[in-house]
Amino acid sequence: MFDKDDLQLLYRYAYSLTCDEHNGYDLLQAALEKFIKLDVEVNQPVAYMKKIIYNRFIDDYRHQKIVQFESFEESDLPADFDVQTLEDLLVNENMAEKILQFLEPDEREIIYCWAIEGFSTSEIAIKLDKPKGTVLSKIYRMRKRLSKQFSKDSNMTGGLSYEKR
Amino acid sequence: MKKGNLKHIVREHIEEKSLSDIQLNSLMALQKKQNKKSIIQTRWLAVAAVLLLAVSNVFYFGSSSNLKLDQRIGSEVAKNHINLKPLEIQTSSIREIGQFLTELDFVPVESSLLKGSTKNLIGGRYCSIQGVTAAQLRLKDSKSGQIQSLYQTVYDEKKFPGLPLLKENQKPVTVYSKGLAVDIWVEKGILFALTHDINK
Repeated sequence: MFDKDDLQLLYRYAYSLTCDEHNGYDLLQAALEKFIKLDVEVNQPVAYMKKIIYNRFIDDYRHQKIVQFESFEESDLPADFDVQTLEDLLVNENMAEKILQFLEPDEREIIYCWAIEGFSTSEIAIKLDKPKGTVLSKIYRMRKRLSKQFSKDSNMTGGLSYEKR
Repeated sequence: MKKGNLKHIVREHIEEKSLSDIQLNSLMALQKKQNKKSIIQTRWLAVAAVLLLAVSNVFYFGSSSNLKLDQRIGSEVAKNHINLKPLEIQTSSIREIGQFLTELDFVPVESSLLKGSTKNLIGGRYCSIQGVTAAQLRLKDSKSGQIQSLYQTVYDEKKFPGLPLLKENQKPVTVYSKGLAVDIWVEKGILFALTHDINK
């Protein structure tokens, strides 16, 4: 089963999806219940639990809105585009929560894989079981949306700007 | 305003989130109980305690502070009832609920108003009323099948002034919220709030 460190890690994952401490805990609790009920032996229980958490979250979220990974041709993207291009985004320190709330659930999943687990684009695609092109397109659109939403106030609270490479 | 790399800011924000000791212990207890695989395992499939977080309470009170106390309680209770979150313990025994919800600073009791009724206790979970830790008991009417929530918390006259006291022969006050009726009263040192359908 899971020790306290595992539970904290899973809670942070659930929080990153829900952007709400209370809902994050409820999500973890429900997933743990399901895991226990399934009573299966798995090699990587933490990874398995993350899958349960994500599926449960998407199921719940679908009651409100359809979550969809849209297909997008890789050829429409800049040739050198990948998840690392998010690295040069600068944000105000107190804006993390606002940014997470602004993102769609599947975008938050990508952000979690990138920021917390340190995955590359290819690794994220494998983890999410999506074509790399789909993930790339998601990142591309996410970056554009973030820029549009936050860069207009670059000198104000929440402003987003770019680090010169 | 100081700026930082998006990755760094997001990581710091997420990593500063952590389960409270109560939440952790509840989740650990849930796993331990499963390991024991006792006969009454399915009935006692305990789920972790959820205490409403201070932030949400602050938000809640901020948005409703202009309402009367009974209406605020009714609104909070109705909202929780509609959510019908999973029970942490399933039992028909009020004593077992008291023994299971160890974080409560009171003992859940039966109300004289419900004695002899067709409402049967089916379980309970942690919740809060106006920021005070409470027990949310779930009842099922054996005749109509209606599910009701009965909230109990410690009665503090300063915190909950002006609510009807049964010992002074005052009748429960009924408030309406979100299409539900909520009866509120004080008895045996406990504040009670009971939801029921308006079309009963």
